[in-house]
Order: sequence, then structure tokens, then C-alpha cells
Amino acid sequence: MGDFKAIGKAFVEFYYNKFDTGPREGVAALYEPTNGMMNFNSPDSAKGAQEIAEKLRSLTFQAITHTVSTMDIQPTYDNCIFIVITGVLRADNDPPMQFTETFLLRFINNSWLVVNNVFRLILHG
Amino acid sequence: MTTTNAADQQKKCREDADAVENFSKRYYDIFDTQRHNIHKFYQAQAKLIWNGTPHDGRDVIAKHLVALPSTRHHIYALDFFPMKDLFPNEETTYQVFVSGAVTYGAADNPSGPKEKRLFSHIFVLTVDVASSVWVIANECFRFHE
Repeated sequence: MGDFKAIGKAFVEFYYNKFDTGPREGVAALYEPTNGMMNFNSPDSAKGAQEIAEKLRSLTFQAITHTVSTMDIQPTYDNCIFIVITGVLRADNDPPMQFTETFLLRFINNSWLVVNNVFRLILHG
Repeated sequence: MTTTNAADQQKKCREDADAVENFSKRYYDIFDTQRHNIHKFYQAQAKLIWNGTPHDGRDVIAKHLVALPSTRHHIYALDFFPMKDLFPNEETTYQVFVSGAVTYGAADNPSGPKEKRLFSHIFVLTVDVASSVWVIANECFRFHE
């Protein structure tokens, strides 16, 4: 598998940096173009780079920062990398919110791309 | 022919979804009340990262989990996502996403102080080829501070 932890860490840092610096729809390019899936607070989802970009554009906040608290990275089937992140995000002037997010990465055409991504706001406690 | 296949597929999807939901609920039930059986939920070569510490293989995982204090889990949200298209060479796989709270030490010391912690629990479920039983292949458990 090689250094899956280094790959995962580099990917996550790149992803949130791109997301937070903006324009956020730029992260759509990190997803598998046709089948890459983004799942929001259920059952909202977007499939493919174009839908994902549109979904991100449609979100109502202007500025956002993601702060990663924990990052757990494992190799999984088919030489894919499974990443679980917990952290805190701040959108505009809203109070900070805890989130959990997963990424499933696959090596396609010389890049690690997201084939599946699940995002959850942690709303209890 | 096409209609039959589509209907069969839909039926299987629903059956799988029911199986995954039942598995998930049973997992916490067994964890809380019959911890010694927790190994049955895992594939032999399963991987767990428990609050940052990796545990490789069913025996290692079970040993770690059995050693934890008694628990009572409260599930706030449970979602699952089929991953079939993602692993075409594998059996049916699902990603399960659970958020909740867990109380430690409840059974050991019923009237004493209890530690209650919020958690996120994500696991990749698959059907074990040999036994046709649903098992955990990858798992991540994290407290929220």
C-alpha cells in the first residue's frame, strides 16, 4: 500500500485548504469525475464533479474554516484509503460546530481521488 | 428480463439495508450486554482505530474491547451508505455512520459517577464470503471532546 498515512494526511490538508481558501467548488475536482459521491446530512447527496460543484456553490455561507481535531487513516479494499476526520468548522459568524467526515480515496489516473465522502454535523451535546 | 432484474435488485437492496440496520443495532446491544461475543461481529483481518490507536485483526480487537469498562450506548443518529459500486470486486459493502453517547462503568458501579462521552463510530460492513455473515472490515471510533 505504500505510505497510506502520508497520502491521507496530505490529501486532507489539501482538501480543506482548497475548500477554505475558496472558491469552495474547486474541491469538486478532487472527486472521481463521474461517480465520486458527496453525502451531506442525510439524505442530501451529489454525484459526479459537476453536481458536487453545484452543490457546494449553492451553500449559503461565504467564508468557512475547517479545523481538524483527529484524523484516522486505514487501508481498505482494492488498495483504497479510508479516512475518518473529526473537527470543528466555523461558517461566517456562526458559532463553531463539530463535524465528522469520511473520505474513501482511490488511485485513478495518477491521482488520489475521492470516490465516496460522507459529512455529518454533530448536533448533540 | 430487465424488469425482473431491476425488481430483484431493489429487493436485495432493501434486504441488505434491513440487514445492515439490524447488525448495527445488535452490535451496541451485544457490546453493552454480552461483550464476550463481540468478536463475532468482525472479519478475521478487520482493522480498528480506537481513539487513535490501531488494532489489527479480530482477536486483537476483541481483546481491546472486552477490556473496556461496562458500557451503555445511546444512539442519536445511524446512517448507512452502500459502497457496492466502489468495490466491484468485493461482496456487498456498506459504510455505517453512527453518532451517540456512551456511559462507562454503569454496571460496575450503579450508584457511582458515570463518565458519559459523545462519540462518532464509522464502520465498513461486508458479507464474509465463507460464512455469509455480515462482519466489520474497517472501523473507526472517536470520542468528541
